[in-house]
Amino acid sequence: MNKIVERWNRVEGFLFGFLNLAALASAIYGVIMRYLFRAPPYWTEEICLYMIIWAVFIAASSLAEERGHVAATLLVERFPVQIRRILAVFNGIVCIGFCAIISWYGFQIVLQTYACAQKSSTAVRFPLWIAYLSVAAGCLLVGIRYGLRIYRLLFRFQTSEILESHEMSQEEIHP
Amino acid sequence: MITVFVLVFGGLLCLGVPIAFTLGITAMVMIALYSPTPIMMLPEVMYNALDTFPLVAIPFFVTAAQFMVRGGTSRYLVEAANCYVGHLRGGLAIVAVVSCMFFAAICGSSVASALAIGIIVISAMIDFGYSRGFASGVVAASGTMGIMIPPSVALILYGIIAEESIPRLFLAGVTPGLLEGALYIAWIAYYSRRKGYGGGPRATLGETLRATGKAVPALCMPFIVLGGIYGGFVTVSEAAALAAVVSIIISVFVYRGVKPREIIPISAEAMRSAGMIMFIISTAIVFGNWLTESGVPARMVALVTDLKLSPFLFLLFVNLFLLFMGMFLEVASIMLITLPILIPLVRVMGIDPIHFGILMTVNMELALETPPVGLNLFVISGVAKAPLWETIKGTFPFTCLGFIQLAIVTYWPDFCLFLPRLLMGP
Repeated sequence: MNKIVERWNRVEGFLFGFLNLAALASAIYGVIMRYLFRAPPYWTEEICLYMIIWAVFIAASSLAEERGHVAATLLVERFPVQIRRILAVFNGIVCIGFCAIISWYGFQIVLQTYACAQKSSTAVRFPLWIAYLSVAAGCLLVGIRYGLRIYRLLFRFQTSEILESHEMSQEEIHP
Repeated sequence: MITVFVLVFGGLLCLGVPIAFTLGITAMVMIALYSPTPIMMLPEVMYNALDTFPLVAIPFFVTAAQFMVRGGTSRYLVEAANCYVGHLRGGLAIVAVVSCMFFAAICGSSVASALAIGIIVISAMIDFGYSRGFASGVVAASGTMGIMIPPSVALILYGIIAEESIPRLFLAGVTPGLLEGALYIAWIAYYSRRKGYGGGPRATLGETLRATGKAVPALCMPFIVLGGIYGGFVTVSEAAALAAVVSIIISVFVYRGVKPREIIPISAEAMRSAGMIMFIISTAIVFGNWLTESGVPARMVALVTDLKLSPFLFLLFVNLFLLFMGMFLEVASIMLITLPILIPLVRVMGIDPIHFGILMTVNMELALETPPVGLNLFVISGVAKAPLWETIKGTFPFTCLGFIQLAIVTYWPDFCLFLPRLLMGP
């Protein structure tokens, strides 16, 4: 179980790190072609944007795993550990609810656009279902992450699991 | 409706549900209960929120900053600045301010600026006899200039939501940023004279030349970024991409602080912090759309016109309100929550939206350094290994100077507007 999660983390990290660099490369390629070869490619901006959006939703899953989404936890941090544990389970359920609804309807939109073979309205004619899939898949991943977290909170509890590690908290600083 | 809203939003926020999810869930509940919009549309709204090219500037600027921190760029900036002003009274503190300003002119993030300079300067300051509180206060406050001096992630966000020109907003941030730096330096000079801080031997000409030479690649970066934008060569997003690529090249091949196999992990780290902001943007826009549709902004406009508030009082209230929000929340969330209501009001009151963007940014700078929740305070107390209250105490004088800056920016619009008017026409 832990091994699978670890490998999953690595694959995710590699994916959005790579997507970010690829998006950079396509933006730069656009600039270079425009000035050096006077032949601006029409696809760079759009593809760059798709890659960044995908990277954002994959990164959201990794952030959920590392408790990196900022939250106003000033009050909660004062509570005793057991109460925080219950709250964390409650928060996880709420987030799973949101992710489930978004990814459920998200996948329906994906199926629809796929069935109608909708393309972007630009010259690229990019199949839109790939773009919409980012939201649905991202939220599904985040939901699974929260599910795993609830499992750990209930059955494999460690105190370190409860500490906040996002930027709006002082409990655990990640420079 | 308001009771339900306060219960859901306030409840989730206080119980420590991440802000991105709090915004998304609140919007979802409110839409399900009170709005004809089908929930089915929400994933599309979340997608469309990010589907705008100027937004890619945010991850790119964060990537540039991340590589500069890891690649040693900030070290060479600090060493060069030290040769020029290090021998003055309070020299190292002034070096911290100047290097933060320079870093701010390359990347657009405050936490990154404070972190990049803090890691190097704070321990040096403590070694040279500065108190730990003062040292961390200087950097925590100077770091906030990251979102004031162009480029700026906060101004990019404002430009997208308010539909204003981002290069114009950047230009309007120049004078308030320089004013802030000058105020800080003046206070440091006064305070250090009283405490007898700093004032060592002057660097020799040879040392100065060598340090400057080493810093040349870093010193060129602002010219690439800002020159590219204002020369009309590249868009803001492309300038951000250029900054990121140049900083990768410098860190890997020139300063060699980053090994080639570390490129993807560092890029992932950058994407993780940018993704945090972008994910908030995506759910906050769902929230903002609901807010606009609910008619709250229109009612606020009617209320404010009924009250016949003068712009003077209106801006005073806005500042107080933002100050309060800034004590508890973080920059992107405050902007995304408040702007759907504030922007229609600003237009009705006849306030220039560019001016308001700068006012908002000064407030966001203060938000980063006002307790109990101030991101720069947290990061710097971690770097300085100082207790939080010590950093808060050290930052306090600078926060007061920030209020002076806020007063000037609020009630003297031409102070920030004259530069964009001069260079880009009215």
